[in-house]
Amino acid sequence: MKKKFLSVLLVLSLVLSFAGPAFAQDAPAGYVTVSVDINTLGNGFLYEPVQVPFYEGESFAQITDRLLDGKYENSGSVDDGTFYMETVILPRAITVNIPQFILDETGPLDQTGKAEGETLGQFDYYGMSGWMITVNNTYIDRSAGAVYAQNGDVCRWQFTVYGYGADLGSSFMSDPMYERADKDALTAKVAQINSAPNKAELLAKSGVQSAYDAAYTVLGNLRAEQSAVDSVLTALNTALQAQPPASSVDISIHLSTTLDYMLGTVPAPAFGTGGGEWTVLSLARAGHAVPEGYFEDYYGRIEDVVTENNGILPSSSSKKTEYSRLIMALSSLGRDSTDVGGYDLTAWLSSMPQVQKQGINGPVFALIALDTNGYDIPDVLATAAMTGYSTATAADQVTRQRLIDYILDREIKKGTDDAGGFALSGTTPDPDMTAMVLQALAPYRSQPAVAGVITRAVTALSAIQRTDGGYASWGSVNAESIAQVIVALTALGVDPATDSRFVKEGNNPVTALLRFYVEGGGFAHILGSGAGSGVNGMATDQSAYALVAYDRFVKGKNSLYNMTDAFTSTEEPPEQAASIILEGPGQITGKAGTAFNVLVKTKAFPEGNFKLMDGLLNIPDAFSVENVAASDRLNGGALSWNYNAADKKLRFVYTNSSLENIGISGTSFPAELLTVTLKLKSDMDEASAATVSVGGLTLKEKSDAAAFVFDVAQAALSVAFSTVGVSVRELFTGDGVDLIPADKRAVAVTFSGIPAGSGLDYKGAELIFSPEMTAKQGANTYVLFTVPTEAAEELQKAENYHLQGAAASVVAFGDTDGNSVINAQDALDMISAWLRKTSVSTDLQILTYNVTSDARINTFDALAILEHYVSGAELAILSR
Amino acid sequence: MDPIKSLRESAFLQNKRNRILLIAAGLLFAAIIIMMILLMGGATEKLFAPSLTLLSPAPVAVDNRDEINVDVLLSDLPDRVYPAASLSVRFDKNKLEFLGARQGTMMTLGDSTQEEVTYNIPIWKSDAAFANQTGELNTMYLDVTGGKFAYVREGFQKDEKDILLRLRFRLRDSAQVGEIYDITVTDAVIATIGGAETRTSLATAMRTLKAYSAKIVVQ
Repeated sequence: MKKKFLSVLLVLSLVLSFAGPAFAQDAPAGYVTVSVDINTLGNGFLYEPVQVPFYEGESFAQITDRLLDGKYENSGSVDDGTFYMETVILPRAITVNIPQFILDETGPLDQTGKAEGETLGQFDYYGMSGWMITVNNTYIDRSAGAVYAQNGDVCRWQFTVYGYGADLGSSFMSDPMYERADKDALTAKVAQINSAPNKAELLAKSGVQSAYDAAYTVLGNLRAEQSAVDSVLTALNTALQAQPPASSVDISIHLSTTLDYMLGTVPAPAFGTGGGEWTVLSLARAGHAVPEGYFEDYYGRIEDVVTENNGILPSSSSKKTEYSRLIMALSSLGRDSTDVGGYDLTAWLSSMPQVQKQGINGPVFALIALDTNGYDIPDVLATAAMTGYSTATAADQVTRQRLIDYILDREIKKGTDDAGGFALSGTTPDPDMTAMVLQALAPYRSQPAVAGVITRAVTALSAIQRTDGGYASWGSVNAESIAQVIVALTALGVDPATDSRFVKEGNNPVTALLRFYVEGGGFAHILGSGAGSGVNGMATDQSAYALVAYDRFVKGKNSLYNMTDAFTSTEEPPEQAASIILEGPGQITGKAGTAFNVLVKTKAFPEGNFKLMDGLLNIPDAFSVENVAASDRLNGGALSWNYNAADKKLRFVYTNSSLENIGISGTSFPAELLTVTLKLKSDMDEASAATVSVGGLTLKEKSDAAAFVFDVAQAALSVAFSTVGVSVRELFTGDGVDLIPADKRAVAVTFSGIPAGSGLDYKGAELIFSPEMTAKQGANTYVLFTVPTEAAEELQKAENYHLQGAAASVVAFGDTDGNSVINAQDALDMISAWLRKTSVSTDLQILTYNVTSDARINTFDALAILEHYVSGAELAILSR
Repeated sequence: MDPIKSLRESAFLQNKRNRILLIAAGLLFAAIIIMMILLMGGATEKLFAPSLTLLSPAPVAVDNRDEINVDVLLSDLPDRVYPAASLSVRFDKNKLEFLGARQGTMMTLGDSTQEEVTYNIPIWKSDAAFANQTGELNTMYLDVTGGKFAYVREGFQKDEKDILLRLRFRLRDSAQVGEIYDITVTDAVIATIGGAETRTSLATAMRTLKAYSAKIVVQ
């Protein structure tokens, strides 16, 4: 029995020993940065810096094994401390250009390059050569199999030619040839970008691509000085953190009404140029709400077309752009074009002769379509049976580089001083064609030849732009040409509304396009009253997706045609219920006449054509209603109210005499609806309390439609009475990252029963008086800086506060320069402080600057000042 | 004897040189007094400060509902870096509708590289709906990088690149022939980093920027 039990135990432990690691493999223990470079051969990275997950107990040998996918040769075992990297199997061909300072030591060397698949390892090119590894900038003195990963480690494999690492600046075996800079932080930052799912979007941000390219230059320079490395890292960080320009052309009305118009006129999109793919693409990329099943039914119709025609799309025999257009639309929906009813639509783009049959448009849109989701290009021979390309040869195979080269070859006046731009025919740059080429080439601008063509094409577009900001093509100034230019510029990270190359006499392409807008939605092909004026389908399609492209650019989203985001599932956050909450002091002085404010707020406000808002509050007998005021955010109406002492209910209506829509401005929630000022009618015992609550609150559209009813289940405020009422609210606690120390906590303390503005201290700490918070609360409110561990019970005790002789310091939120005017200087002061160009050190300064009432002083505070200044948005710290 | 007459006929003043010296001394004294007054009032600074002028448009026909542009003209831009600027303007919301801000001609730095400096003409942020509610339009340009896209001297040129921005209005139906509507600057600043302390910002509040308002005449 005992033996049997032990056997079972042994089997069980064996099973678990295999299962254990399997469970452990499910979740990485962290991420490390790994790169493989051959800078000593003058040829950059074999494996660019990337973030690699590692699992508990993994060594760098095991991590490298996973990264290189076995494409190396080693001695020893990858699983223990005997591992030694002998050779790497080249993932690409290399040319060799050994830096002169190394050749000065070695003498002339054979610098023959190697092909992809050949090996590079010890003793190649010189007798001292081989692979070395650093972990966290230290050349490790043992096997990579004996060094275990920690989260955030940086591991760099480097090929040494001379001196067993002397040419890498290592003192491992001999004197280093130079002082080696620490490039780990820069390598890690580049790895972060390379591993980001939105890498293209990051690189499209203004300034990021150039900083990223500069990083590669520095990383490839063996003898780069530390100052250069640090400078490039700072520039890259700054570019990544930079926000898109706060100013832009407001296109919201034009875009939303046009998309609504498209929905209305295309109730059932189907395969085709009009009423088909472009409509779907515009709506999908805009994230515009569509009727249930709108996109699913469209996809169903597409599947039918594809399967009924055995994959051969109508009109596609000489126009492979039919496939490109469809692939683009499907990508906008996150639909995989490699399996549509069992057919791989990308296969029809695998033959160069087929794609280029219709001229430059073919390769341009093939490239755009394939890049919407990084599609691999199918083998032209393997898919010939499906595509019908029965005479195809291997030489017909489309590659992205072939498409690019085809396009580059068609640059107008290529190779001359006048080169620049593209056209279907002739030597005058056409705005539509030039723009579409730029859209296709944008992801490849790191190629020097492509970059040159792009620069010249952008110059050409600037040169042919009209003074009204628009473009003419085929003899007419039209919306479509402008639309294509907008899509192109945003794909390149150029703001079409502000870049000085595209602002002509105060007009830019975006404002020019808006002139073609037709009131109610839609765009005209040309202006005026002749043929082509009025809403035009093609103009509407192209203008719509151009505005979507611009909108995405301003909001820092993926460009129009980088649709990888459509394939990433992101759950929409659940819609905030429109529930009502009450805010006010939890405790007031129990003396007759004590006044205070109760704020009625909503967590959401529905969209609709509401004409009237009404409701009632339950007011305890202890209070009288002194005033009810509508919030500045409510608009379109006026408030009237009445308190009936008999039933203790305060009733109110917010509406207008002409039954125009009422609404709420701004986008931050909870949003204030009403301020109710109450006063205590008589002295109250300290042991008692009274509760104010909302009995109901609705929005009404018309008499025969159901009202929208706010959720009032949480809308209650209990007010306790004491000798000196103390009510405490949390404001913020610093996290030590941006100017607010980690141990600095700010709370708002509201008192009733003390003179306004009196000097107060709490256990020796001075309180700062806030006239703005006082006006809002209806009772004297101060801000106290304390420690995170100070108990709420202590803060609530009136006896812990002491009146001082001198008046309290006063805070004016946002007024950084203390001149009683909040304007651009204050916003700039916040940015300057965040950039550490000026200092913020005192409690009063912290309070003045941190208008968002979060853990940091940063650009959010500056943006809050902008919104406050321009649109009257309330500073967040006042609504805490 | 009349003291003035006796002074005039005194031996001292009979000497021409003495008269000249006395007059010169008097003028110098007066100049010193004036300068002291000006300095105490801070008016010297104001006297030489750049100015921001709202250019009054041509008179507008009462039935004209086209856009009315009011250019905001800057007289000079000292050689500093200005990453932020704002303008508050009061107008009669019952007679005029504010439509928004349009680009001017003054340029900020663009997405420059080490090899090439580029420029932008920025669009200032404004909120027409809020302005028409309150009768005060507030518009701001803010370079959140703190300088990369700032206004600089190279982006300014008198008569060519000196319009900071353009304000767009339209007459409301309540406009009457013969009425004149003030478009009044209530606050303006073209800000430098730390400019309030160093007084390098151009600001009406600091009197380092003069502001001249405009009028819209209805005919």
